[in-house]
Amino acid sequence: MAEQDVAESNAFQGAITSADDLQAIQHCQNGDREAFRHLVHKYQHQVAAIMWKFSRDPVIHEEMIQDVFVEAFTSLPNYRPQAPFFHWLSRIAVRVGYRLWREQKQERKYPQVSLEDWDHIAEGADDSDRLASREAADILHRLLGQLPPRDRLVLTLRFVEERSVKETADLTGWSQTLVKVQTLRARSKLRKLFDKAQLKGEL
Amino acid sequence: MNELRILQNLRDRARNDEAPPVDVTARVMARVRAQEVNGRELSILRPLEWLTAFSSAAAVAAGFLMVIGFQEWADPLIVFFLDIQ
Repeated sequence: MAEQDVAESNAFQGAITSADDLQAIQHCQNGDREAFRHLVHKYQHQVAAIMWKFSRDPVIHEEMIQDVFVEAFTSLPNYRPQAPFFHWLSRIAVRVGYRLWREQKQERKYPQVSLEDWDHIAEGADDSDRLASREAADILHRLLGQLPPRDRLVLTLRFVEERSVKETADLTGWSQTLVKVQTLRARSKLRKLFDKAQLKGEL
Repeated sequence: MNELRILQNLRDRARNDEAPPVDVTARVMARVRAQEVNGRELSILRPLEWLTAFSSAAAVAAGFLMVIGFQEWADPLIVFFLDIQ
């Protein structure tokens, strides 16, 4: 696991900011707003892929992508080229997504797992299910939505996006120890969720 | 039942799920432009905010001094009126 973490983290850090991006960033930092267009155009699909894990509502999803770029533009004066630009952008994206989950939790607006979903989850455990990708992703989203935002975030990054402890720590701004502890707690809560469903006969 | 196995199974089945295609460039640029205009308006208001803050602070200090001054000044008057009575 440790070797895998190192390998993944090298791949993560390996991405560098291209000369084009650096030039656009410098122009933005010097007050040329239009140079930011190049960065939005180039990275919007990658940011969209990250934000799709946070909301599966197309309207909210698009708004969040916009929020990420607007926040990036505001923070651009603080950007230092030591960090790859997309890595820096991903941290903002995770922050925006996590904020949405916290707001939704406060407003008690989180997705419900239906009986049918639990059926699919149980079938999936036996590898006998033929769920479409989108449906499986929807169920995964609703399932993790039952957990508190911190647990949901750590499980999403670690096991859905398959990121290493180091990457997760970089993206969340948490220490690696906190990521490990939070992962254990989140797994325990998920296990309790399954146990509860099993007791109710849903799973 | 292993919770990770269930999670990984769902993840594997969801692997081909992709985010809907988006093009937010125009909207982001419009928001950035609006933000800059708002920022400029705010920066115009900033000196006025400082002026208001200084005026308020000066008014509080002046009020405080007035109360002290009034108390010092009122005492001889009271003595004078008491003497007349």
